Amino acid sequence: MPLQALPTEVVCMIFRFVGAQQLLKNILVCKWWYNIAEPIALEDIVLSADALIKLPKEAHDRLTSYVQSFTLDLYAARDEFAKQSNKNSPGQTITSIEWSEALVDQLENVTELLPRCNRLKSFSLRLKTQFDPSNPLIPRDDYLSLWSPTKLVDVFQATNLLHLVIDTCGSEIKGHICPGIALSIPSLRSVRLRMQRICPRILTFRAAVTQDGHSNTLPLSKAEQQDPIPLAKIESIIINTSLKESDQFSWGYSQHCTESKRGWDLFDDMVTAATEIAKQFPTLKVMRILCHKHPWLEMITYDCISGSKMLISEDVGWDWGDDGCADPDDEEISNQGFSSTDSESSED
Amino acid sequence: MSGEEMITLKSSDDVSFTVERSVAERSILIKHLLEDLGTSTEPIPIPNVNEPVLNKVIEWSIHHKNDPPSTDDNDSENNRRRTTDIDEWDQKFMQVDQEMLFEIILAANYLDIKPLLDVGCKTVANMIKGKSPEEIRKTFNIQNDFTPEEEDQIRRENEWAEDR
Repeated sequence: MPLQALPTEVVCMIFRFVGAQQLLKNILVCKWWYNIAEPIALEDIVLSADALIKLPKEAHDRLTSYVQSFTLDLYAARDEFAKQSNKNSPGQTITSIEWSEALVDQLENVTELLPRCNRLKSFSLRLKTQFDPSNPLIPRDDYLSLWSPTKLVDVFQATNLLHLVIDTCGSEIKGHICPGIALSIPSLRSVRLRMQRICPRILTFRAAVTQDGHSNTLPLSKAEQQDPIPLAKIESIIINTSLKESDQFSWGYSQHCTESKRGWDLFDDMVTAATEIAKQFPTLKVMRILCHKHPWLEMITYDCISGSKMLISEDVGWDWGDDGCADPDDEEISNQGFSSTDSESSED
Repeated sequence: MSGEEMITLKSSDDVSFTVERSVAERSILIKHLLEDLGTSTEPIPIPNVNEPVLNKVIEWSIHHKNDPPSTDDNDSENNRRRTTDIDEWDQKFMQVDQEMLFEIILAANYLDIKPLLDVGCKTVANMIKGKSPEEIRKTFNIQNDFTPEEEDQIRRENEWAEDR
């Protein structure tokens, strides 16, 4: 019995276990294989900056029909791209400004693309840093400082998104995106955020919740009928205010968008806002704010529902949540770390 | 557990197997059938599964009869990070020729035994992972029916996906 004799739905299961990335490299086995594999290979798209720059308009329609999980894993890779474009068209090199502009153009295209992706459930934007530990004095390259994601953030509401990850640790960006993200949060299920600039405004949103935390049966007021409040679906929010990977010398922290606060001062503000929003939204099962401590950069996670503080281990990704273990220095933190005179947090 | 009800299953080639009800009920198809029938003393015919395959399926069901019911959470964020890890016993169990592997998958699909279907599909997925198209063709004895022109065109359409 050949593989082709299995029912198509079973072959689809097999292909999903293989995974989209692997499958896309292997769609040319035969026509039967291609027809089943191609849509599955496009369900889960992960693009680097160079791949995004190369993404042709012709691929848009195929993407919008199938993509369920869309991840942009961007990091400055200009040298590599310059080499490539030099190889393809000798004598024509691309400058870093041209590279950044091409990337911004494509991000605008993605912004237009997202609302057309009917099956999209999960979107991740990760601006990675190209911090080089062997060459630590090279200044960080804010390769997307020309781009404002405000438009991108606004289209989230026009999608059926359930899971959102925004990690702009690796580059400065333009614009204040907290209010835009706040609008989309209630209709999402999970949100993971780490941004160079963030403020409690991102946790200021309205949504309909009833006693049992789910359906909305209350009659709408006049104002609400005109501008209906979304039904709260949000279950899990994790915000990391530590940017320690970006630059090991300044021990980076997120900065407040509009005030000159950072580090533990900002952390305190975020915890206050998060604790308040966790009270308002019983749908929230996870509401955590993260930060790192000095001098050993341990990650602290503050559970805003139970009010407990934990250490999380290094090898666990912060964005998927970790219950952590009790912090042996807990006393010390609550005495020193939370005070506004904390030496590190006022370093700027 | 001495008094557990016994169920008789009859393969497509008329071989009977008598098993504990909890073993037979690993199959959702049989579970629902038994619920509809009440108690059954008659052998239950399994028309799509022959003796060697039914034997394997029962071997698996006996080993896994006390497993907790699987939670099928399709919407979770873990969805995309699904693994193809298979526990040791199942790996050994799946060390069969390709013909038998596909037969077990078909039977698990027909009998609605989700965890066995998963293990079967993962086993095939692991045979595909890390291979080139040519190696895949060899593994599954598949003929390449693309013309060089068609191959070229698809390759060009997917160029952007190559350095991700």
